[in-house]
Amino acid sequence: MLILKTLGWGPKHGFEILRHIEEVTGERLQVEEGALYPALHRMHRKGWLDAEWGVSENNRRARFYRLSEAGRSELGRQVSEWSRLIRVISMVLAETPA
Amino acid sequence: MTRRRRRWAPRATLGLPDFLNWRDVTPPIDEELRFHIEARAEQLRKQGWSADEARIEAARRFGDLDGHVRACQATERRRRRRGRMAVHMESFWQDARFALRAYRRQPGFTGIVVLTLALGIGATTALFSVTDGVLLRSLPYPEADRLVQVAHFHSEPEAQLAPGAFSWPDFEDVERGVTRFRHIAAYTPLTRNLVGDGSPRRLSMTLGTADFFAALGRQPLLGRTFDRNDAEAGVDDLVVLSHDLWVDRFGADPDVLGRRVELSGSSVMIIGVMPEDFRFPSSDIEAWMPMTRMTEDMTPRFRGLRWQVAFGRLDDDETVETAGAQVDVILEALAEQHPDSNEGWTHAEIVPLKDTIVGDVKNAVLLLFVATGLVLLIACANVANLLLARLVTRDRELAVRVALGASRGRLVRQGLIESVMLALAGGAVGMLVAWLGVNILTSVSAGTLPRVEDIGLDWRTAGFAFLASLVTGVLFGLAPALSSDAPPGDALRDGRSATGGGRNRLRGALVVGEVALSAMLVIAAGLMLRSFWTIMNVDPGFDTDNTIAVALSIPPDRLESTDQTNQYRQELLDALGAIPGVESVGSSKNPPLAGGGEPFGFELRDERGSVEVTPGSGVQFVTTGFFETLGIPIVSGRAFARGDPGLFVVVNQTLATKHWPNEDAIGKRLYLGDNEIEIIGVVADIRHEGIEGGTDGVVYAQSEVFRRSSVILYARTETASGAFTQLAREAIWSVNPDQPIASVEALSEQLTRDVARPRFFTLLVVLFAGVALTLSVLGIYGVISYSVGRRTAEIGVRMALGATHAGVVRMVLADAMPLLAAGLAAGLVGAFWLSRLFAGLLYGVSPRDPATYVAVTAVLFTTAVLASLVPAARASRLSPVDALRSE
Repeated sequence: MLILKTLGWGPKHGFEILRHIEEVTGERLQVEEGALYPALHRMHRKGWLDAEWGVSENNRRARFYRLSEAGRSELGRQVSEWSRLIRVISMVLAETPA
Repeated sequence: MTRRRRRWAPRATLGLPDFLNWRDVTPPIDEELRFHIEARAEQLRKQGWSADEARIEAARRFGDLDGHVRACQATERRRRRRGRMAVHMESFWQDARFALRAYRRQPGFTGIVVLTLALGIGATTALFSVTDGVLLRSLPYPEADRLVQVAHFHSEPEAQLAPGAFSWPDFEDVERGVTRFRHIAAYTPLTRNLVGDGSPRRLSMTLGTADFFAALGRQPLLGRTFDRNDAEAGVDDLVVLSHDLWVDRFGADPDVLGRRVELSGSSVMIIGVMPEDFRFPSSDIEAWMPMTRMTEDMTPRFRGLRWQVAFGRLDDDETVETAGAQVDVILEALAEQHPDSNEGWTHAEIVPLKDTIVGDVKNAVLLLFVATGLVLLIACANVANLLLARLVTRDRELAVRVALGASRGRLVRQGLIESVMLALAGGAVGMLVAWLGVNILTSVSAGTLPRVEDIGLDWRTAGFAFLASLVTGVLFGLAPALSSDAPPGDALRDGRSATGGGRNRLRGALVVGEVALSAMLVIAAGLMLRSFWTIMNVDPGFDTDNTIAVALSIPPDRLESTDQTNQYRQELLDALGAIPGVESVGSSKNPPLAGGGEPFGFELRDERGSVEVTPGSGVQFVTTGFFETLGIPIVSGRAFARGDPGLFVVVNQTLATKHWPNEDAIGKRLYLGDNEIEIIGVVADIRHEGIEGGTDGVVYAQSEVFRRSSVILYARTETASGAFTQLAREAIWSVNPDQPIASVEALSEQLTRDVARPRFFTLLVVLFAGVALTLSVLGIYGVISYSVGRRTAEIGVRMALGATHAGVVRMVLADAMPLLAAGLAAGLVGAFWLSRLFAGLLYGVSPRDPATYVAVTAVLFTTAVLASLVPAARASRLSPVDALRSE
């Protein structure tokens, strides 16, 4: 979901996606960086992402990912799902013993 | 790690999805991941890390590089598999749309191809529906494959009037004895006059034994059928109506059940109506009645009279062999008990009922089906030729596509898609042709094909047409498609195809095939024509000009005594004879050509002992005037004279020669039981068993002595008998207004009807052969013109160098000759094979009749040479200058 959200801002290559997540979360989300790529390829296969080769900001060949239409609606679905989950959990947590 | 300095334009701008480039995807995954590590190291370096440390830290953060690459590759492979499917579908539609556009641009070409295919597929489909209805589909009875006919034969082949028939008592003994049939039944045809409720009508009926309906297993539409209970109760005044009779005569009134009607003087009760598709044993049967059971005193007289057809339903687990063995045992026992009538009659033959119904047209229908199949193949070859010619004009297009990277498989597939589309269009139009064809066939074939009512277009036929179209499309598409592997360079360099050689060989092969197939058909047609010509020239033995025949049944109130019947018959004859212009009148029980002789056995007693005289064509009952009216010559002795009814007979030439080869038959005496009968005359043979039947011995006895209800009255007129039929009806009704008349027709019409079936089949085969010949002549013409066209420049050079016109023609013909010769040779071999199929359809001609083969070969060869001569002659008239300029 985070990846989809990140790409919502425009096409990026893998490293840029990672950097973006790092910046937004203040490096609080520490994952093995390489694991990002199988995830990207899976989403590509599912048709949520379009991929194409392009030139990076430092003039190197890099693979850029862009949110497809299917990806955009998937993002919407996941976000609303997530919000619902949060709401339910908050409701449970808010129920403090009186 | 390689560093590519080359700028890569984003692929999207090429408009191609990146999976088209799937072959080199593996390095990019590796590259993509390494780019990440490098970018991270770069970033760390900027943050002050040393280059080495940055690289190690970046790799650490990335984790298991190889593992991630493998995971990505696995995902990628799965994605591509699905992608390729989508590509196939996508490009399939693309090809189809492309083909459609191309065809719309060439309506003439498309029209010719679709029409050719429509004719071929349509004709084949029409014949398929005939084959399906007549041969393939099971009879309309439950578990119809268990139904068999039971035939009764003498152990030695012997002339039998109704081949395979049982006598009434024999059948009853068999019926009692068998256990391997669930039901066994017998029937015999008869005609009855239905009077009252409108004009008198003669009905074609069937008398069936108790289990007649039970064996067939069909339920009536209304009411009930007669069954074993009726037989045991001795009730036989019942009738079951056919659907047609019920509708025509009783206005489909559901209240007919229980009504009594008059059938030839006896009152019977209507107990049921059968469904429309119940037509057993043949489609002209209008009603069924139960057969009266034998009384003991009748049995001996009837045991030797065999005219009942038996059939049955085999019990589960029984086969024609086991059931036949059981019937044989019973028949052997009967032969021992009744040696007088049954000696030698020990053999039963059991065959599936369907075979007996379609038996004699099976080969004819198959032959026609094969013929249309051949026509379709020729049509295929022609269309393939057209496509090949069209391919030449598309060489550039194809070469460009190959140069742009279209694979050979892709081009072959496109070719096939194009041809299958054409074939499907042809098949769609062909269904119309088939619909027309089936309608024409069923109306023209009336009376010549059994089970005509089962022929029609339905989903099976449509399925056949669809399959035929698909196969056709692949057949004629494959050759051009496979020949399209032109190396792109050649075709692009100049406008001419460098691959023409290969394609020419292919077109040559197509011509050989076409010539071979049409040779087969034309030979078949030639044989059929010759056979038909022979049939038409058979002398029936009697005059058919200006003679009419009136068929009727004498009503029972005129059958009470021989004198009464004779008087009534004579009144009818006199009324006919009184019509102005009538020269002579006479009558017989059976129409000529229709068989129907009754099975009498005579004895010839002389000093050497007793010899049995069994006329192969039976005994025919005739009156005074019969021989004269039909123009049958008296060979010796005299014909019956008026007023001398007595125990006299006339025999035909065949019988006389057989028994008295060296002496005069006149005055010889035969014994029928204890009655002495004198032979008073010998007449020339006539074809009692039909034009195609041979001639066998006949004894003519006097109708005045042997009373029968069926009568054919003949009247010979001075002039053509066209307007005479109505006068004849009026004459009959002036004697008895209630007399039903079955038919009034000229004898020549009977003759025509007798040859209707051979004429029908001959006509169709000749028609198909004509189409085949036309198609293959067009094919030959096309191929030769094409090759002449390609060699225009060469011909120009030759003529400039002094070649003569004749030389050019010879050169072109030399190209064509080997093709024609090979085609004809293959065709002759094919015709030999095909001739086995229609040997049974030929009359008086061997299926390997050399004259026909030679004549047909000559005709085909001449036609083919003429077809190639036209382009050859055109080539020779070219002026060298024009020819060279055409380059």
